[in-house]
Amino acid sequence: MDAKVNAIRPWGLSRMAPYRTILQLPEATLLLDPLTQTTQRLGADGQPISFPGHGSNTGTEQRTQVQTHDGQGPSSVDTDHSQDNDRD
Amino acid sequence: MTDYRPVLVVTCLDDPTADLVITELNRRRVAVARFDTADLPASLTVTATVGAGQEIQGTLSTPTRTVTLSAVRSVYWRRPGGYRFDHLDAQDARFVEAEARHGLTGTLTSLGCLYVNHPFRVRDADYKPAQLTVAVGVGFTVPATLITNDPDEARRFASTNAPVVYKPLRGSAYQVVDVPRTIWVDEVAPESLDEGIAGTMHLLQVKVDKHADIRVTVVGDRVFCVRINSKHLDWRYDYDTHTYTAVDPPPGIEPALHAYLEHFGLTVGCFDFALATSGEWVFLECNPNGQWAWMETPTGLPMTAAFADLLERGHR
Repeated sequence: MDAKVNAIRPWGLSRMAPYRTILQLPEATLLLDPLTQTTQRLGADGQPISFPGHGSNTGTEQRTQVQTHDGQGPSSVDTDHSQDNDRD
Repeated sequence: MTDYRPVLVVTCLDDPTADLVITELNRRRVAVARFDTADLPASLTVTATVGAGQEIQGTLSTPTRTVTLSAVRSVYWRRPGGYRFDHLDAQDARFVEAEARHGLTGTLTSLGCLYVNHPFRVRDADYKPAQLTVAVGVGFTVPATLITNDPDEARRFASTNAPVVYKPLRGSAYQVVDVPRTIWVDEVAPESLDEGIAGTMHLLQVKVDKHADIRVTVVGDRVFCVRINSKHLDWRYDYDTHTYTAVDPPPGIEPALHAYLEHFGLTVGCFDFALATSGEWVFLECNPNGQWAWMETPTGLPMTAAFADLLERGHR
């Protein structure tokens, strides 16, 4: 392979496509409940908020999330699109 | 507070699936200590000793729990946020992060207890070429697959085996103008395979003629098979139109599932199969750290309880 190959835009990138729906999540503060060790989600008013569906495209910096819940009403569980890539 | 034989849950705060399992462990009065590796150094303090005739021991302290490492019952390794030292310049951060990773992850992965899953086993099992190779070895039917950066080979494979699909080997977070994008499994027109194939590795696979998809969640010795009916080739594109049905695996599948996990040293795994029009289950992939909780309500399968059973038991 010659140096020109390094200038090629890899074909796989051409397959990047949008999600069907994007869900704008409300701003929330996440806190660990000391007693239960589960996460509490508090809105700007300090009150607990429900969490409408949770995709797993969870870049920690982004509050726009991919809607991938199962449509069974307010869901608070992860679905399976490729999850956070920040693996350890 | 000192916990007797706690389950360690290593994950970020934003993990509703972990919350479900922790809630079930709480109901059973099993002690849980939850933290994120990203809590180091702000709110996590760890001291371990090893040597002089002793295996690793020590303590881990979060703001709300103090854990004796030798007493840990099991580790539920979900999706910790990694290590971040953004206040340092790049090479300082690189050094400090490596010290944190090798010191903390290195300690947490050396406890000799049950891991659901051990993160290093997850890493190994995350490589698709390895997945497909092991799948063939344990007897699953695997579609013909090409992994290449040679445009001619890609075009030859796509023409000879049409229709074929493209799948990312790994995938990563991707955004265009702050809007997330991803790659959906979809058919590839052979003529679209241009010289860009040379730019990195690409995976092409023969498209399976299928009735439906099957998601199999193996949790220790429990096997939960769910048929997913979706109108899309890639069911992840649209969860709203799915129907879920608990199904039994055909003969031979269950031993192969366990052999697969055994090969990689995994205690749990989320397998994707295509239910071929022939009735055969065709292996597509296995996510060693996959999601499962969203299927529990529509199927009634007790997956949360199975995870809690495994973590509580502390052995397979």
